[in-house]
Amino acid sequence: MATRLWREVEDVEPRQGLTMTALLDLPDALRTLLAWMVRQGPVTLRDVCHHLDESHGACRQLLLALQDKGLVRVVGRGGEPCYQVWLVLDRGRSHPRRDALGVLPLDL
Amino acid sequence: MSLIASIHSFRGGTGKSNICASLASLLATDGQRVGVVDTDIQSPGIHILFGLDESRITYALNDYLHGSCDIAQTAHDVSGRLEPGMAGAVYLIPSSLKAGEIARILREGYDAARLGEGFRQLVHELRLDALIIDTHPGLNEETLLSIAISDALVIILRPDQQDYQGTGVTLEVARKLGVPQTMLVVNNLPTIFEAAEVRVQVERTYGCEVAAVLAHAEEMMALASRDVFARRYPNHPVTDSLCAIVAKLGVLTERG
Repeated sequence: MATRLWREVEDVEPRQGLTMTALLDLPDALRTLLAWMVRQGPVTLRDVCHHLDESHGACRQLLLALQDKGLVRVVGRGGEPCYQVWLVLDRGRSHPRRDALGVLPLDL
Repeated sequence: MSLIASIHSFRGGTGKSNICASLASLLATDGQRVGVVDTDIQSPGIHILFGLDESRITYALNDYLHGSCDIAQTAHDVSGRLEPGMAGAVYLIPSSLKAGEIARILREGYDAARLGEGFRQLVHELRLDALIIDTHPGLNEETLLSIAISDALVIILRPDQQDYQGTGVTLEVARKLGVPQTMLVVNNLPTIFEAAEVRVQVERTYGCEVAAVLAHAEEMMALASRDVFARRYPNHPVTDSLCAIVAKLGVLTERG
């Protein structure tokens, strides 16, 4: 497992779900992985192993860490468990709606 | 594997919905099964282009997001309106036109994951070759989600300074989200400009492929959203340019 990805997972603050704007604020390797998961929909451990080209054990540890951080949830009952990014919308919830432009560190 | 493509513009009034409708029509004429989702929940409008009367909308995207129906129940087959007996099909998933429903979703929000799941269910249940998402202008949470789950992002811009910076922001977001293919479409170019020069200039500025440059067309203005442009004017130069976008998306369809 890439050291950089592990470090980013360890450094991220625990939360309960992720808004899309929060996802954009994540560091590169972690954001890239979670964006891939958003695009794929629910993925299996095997899918993650294939995508990262890493071992079963390493990817299982990673997914557990992502669950502990409140970034990923296990979905589906019975059969092979699937993992999905825990997405929430900030509109109408406890956080005021933010303009995405205001939170993106863009230098254009 | 099917294609999911978001059609986006940073500002309103760029002709995004008109382009969405024409792309869907051209794909369906080519024999593909296409879904069109109006995620412009705050200001829906693409149903007008497809001639879908409000009274015929039993369920809208809002109803699905609130858990009142399955996503497939929101799909309206508008193929007959485009071309009776056409080779493919177009299913429109409209947003609600009821002020109360629009206000409710703005006030209460919805489960973001449900939107993404809905897109995938549509592709599966309607056996779609392509799902085209007509996004809300600018960048809000649901637009970011639509972009994130897309295989392709088509960004529409006009030759207008107000569009330029916003397009740059959208491109940066697409790169951060790892969207597999992003392309620009310059729309409504005044005829005094040379399309080839504008294409080169825009590609150089953004470092992104320009799929088409659509010249200003009086016919588009006169049509005033009463019909789908590519259907009404199949031999128009603008329709030729729209076909070039379809060709790019066709490559993506074969990708999977």
